[in-house]
Amino acid sequence: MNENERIAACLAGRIEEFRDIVDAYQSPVIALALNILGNREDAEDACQETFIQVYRHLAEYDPRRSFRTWIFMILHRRCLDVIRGKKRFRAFFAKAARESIPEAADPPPPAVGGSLSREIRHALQPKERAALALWANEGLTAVEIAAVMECAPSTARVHLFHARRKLKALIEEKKDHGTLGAR
Amino acid sequence: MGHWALVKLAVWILPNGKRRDAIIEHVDGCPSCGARLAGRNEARGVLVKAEDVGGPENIWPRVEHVLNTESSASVRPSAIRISAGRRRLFPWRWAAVAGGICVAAAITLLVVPGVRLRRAAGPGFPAVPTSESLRILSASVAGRPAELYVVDVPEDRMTLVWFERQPEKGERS
Repeated sequence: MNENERIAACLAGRIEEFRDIVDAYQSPVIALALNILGNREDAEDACQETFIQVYRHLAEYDPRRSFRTWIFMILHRRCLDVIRGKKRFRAFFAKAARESIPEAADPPPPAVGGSLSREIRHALQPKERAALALWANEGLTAVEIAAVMECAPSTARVHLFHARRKLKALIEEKKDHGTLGAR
Repeated sequence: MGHWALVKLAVWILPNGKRRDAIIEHVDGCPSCGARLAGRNEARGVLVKAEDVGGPENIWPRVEHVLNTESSASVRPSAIRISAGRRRLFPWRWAAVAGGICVAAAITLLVVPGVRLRRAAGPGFPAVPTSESLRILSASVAGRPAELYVVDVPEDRMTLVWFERQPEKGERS
């Protein structure tokens, strides 16, 4: 059964067919979520929510587009929602506690099954990390990255440029010191 | 000003469009500029890759559970939906607004005395929710997707619950 047949089966209400889709895409989806969000727990939640959204909106999927790009687009949107939600939560909590909450006070991500190094998370913006991961891991072009990130190709190129520039600077800086990278 | 500094400045200063694209195109073809950018392999060396993330046993049961729950619960909203012939303003919007006000009021009642008590007692109020104390869940509130923030404050034997519905398309968050 190919992907389009599976999608048709899901649309006919056969949830079990969706399992193959989840199994096929979950690893790259979690990896991208990890690269954007930085920790496994949030990444798995975003991944779960992404597949639920994919299933809910399968009828809206245009088969002329890449299914993978469409899933990544939903995931990217979801990850930005998580980041926004956390920012709003911090603001709410800070308001409640009447004191500022430092950004760096985030709990360290659990080092299970791959997590992004703190240096990368701090140096690169989430959109830059998304562009970099889509380019390096998935081999997407600027136009495809723009489709995932729902921005102009020019904007995607700039995100990628800054991500590569910052990463190179970090690598150069860390060359003599120690490790930099996914754990 | 050096060549690379000019490139960085141009990318930073130029508005989105052809000119900035031209600069970035130049970077791709220029060995001197290219050396200032991380390559694919370098990036892959520091990013989390699909093969790093482990087995596929985790996600499907969670997704299946939600989808099955939704499909069995989907009868309920349609049962109370207004018939197509006689459409009137269904009070779910009001229910959502009323729910939001109730939750906000509950939070105010819980948080404000909590903050005052903690201030009176000195430091110790968990200014930063930790991964143990904070859970962010997806929920459905009045038929709309929402984020549910649950914070445990064990020292006060208190749990704060805050939900925020997700904005619809075109709606500002």
